[in-house]
Amino acid sequence: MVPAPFGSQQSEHAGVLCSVVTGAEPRAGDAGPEGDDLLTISPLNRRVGLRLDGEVDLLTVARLERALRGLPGVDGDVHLELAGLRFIDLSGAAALAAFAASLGQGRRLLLQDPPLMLRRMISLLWPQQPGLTMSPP
Amino acid sequence: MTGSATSALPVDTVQHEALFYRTAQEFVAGTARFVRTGLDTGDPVLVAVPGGAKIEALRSAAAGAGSVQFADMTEVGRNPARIIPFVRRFADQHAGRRVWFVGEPIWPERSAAEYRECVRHEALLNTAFAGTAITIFCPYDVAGLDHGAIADAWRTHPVLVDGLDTRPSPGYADPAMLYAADDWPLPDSPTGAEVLPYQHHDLHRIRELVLRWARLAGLGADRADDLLVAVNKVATNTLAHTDAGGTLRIWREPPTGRLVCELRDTGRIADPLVGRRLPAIDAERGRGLWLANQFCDLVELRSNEHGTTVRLHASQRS
Repeated sequence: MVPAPFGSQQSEHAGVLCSVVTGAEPRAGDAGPEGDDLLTISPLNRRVGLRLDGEVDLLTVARLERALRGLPGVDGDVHLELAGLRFIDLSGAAALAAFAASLGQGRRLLLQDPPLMLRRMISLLWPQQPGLTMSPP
Repeated sequence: MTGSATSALPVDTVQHEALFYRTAQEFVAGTARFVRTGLDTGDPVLVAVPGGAKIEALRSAAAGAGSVQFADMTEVGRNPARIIPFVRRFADQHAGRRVWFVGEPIWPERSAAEYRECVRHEALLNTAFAGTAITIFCPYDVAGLDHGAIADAWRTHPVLVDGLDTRPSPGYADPAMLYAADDWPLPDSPTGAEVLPYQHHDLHRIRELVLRWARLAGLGADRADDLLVAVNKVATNTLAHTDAGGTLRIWREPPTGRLVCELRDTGRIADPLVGRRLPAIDAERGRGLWLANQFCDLVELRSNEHGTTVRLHASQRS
């Protein structure tokens, strides 16, 4: 696969992996043991990767880790579209760093439009993590 | 003779001296003498003092200070809990050599809360660098600080320097005892504080509340994000380490309007150096408090058999 780090700005949002709670305004975090209404994880349809919308925290980080592990283990980079990520905690940042470390030689985890808090955590805690790459601010 | 005896000490000994100065001239003379002693020994020297004027005065007074690393303490030590990891990094970069560190963490404009944490930091320097070949030199502005600060410097420094006179401190106290929670009670939170008990599933609500107060306090998006990540992490620690949940209180501290978020739970943190070690060698909880120290202007931590209280301070200037 040809690395195309941040060429495509438009979303590749395809299907939705996790159900979104609909209906009368649920209280955030109350829906399901894994905060189903807090985070939506969608596969990208033209590239290997995920789009994250919502918040990664104690309730939702396990779903993020499962979705990352479930990505096809092919050659080439993994893309994460993060423009819709409103919050990510330290465990979420750690999960991304660990996933980048698990990718083989020459493969990268490309973070498209990471929120400022994620940039701050990565630059403080994983500044030299091979394979972890962020789009320019 | 400041520090001249250190070369005779075993290489893995921490030495920790306080300099009492009354004038700018005394500050420069005493501190430059220390810097030159380190340089003459061929050892690396790190200087963190408050403000560019002091840095420039030392730079010109210590001839050949090109090999000295200077930092503004109002930046690297704004939160005094950042100083130990800052110095540790420097010592690790020069492993195998004795390092010389000038650190002035206390100045007259420090708030009462900052001052308390500075004293605890000074005590913990002795713990953090026990077994490290380092000589630490802390200038104290006797003319600007009150008597209590000088008495505390006696308690936190094994050696006192006044002019050319160097002597053991008659008041030096055991650092672990000095750090202990009961010595530094936190003032009560104000009655106007907003209170939110939290359990699992309440992290989102906590973040909403913090964001609302951050806007009220006029924090920019970057500072609000930092506070949000820190509060969320400390609350997550509560949920990971206790069954009883915790209580969040938020208020703005008069007169500065600085935002304070307090998290209380029933957990216990026994390690006095938690949050001051680089995270790679730390447990999950320590990593969170290390991050909180980097992201917040001040972190107050009190922990005993009754529980743990963490206060995170944030203001717009960083």
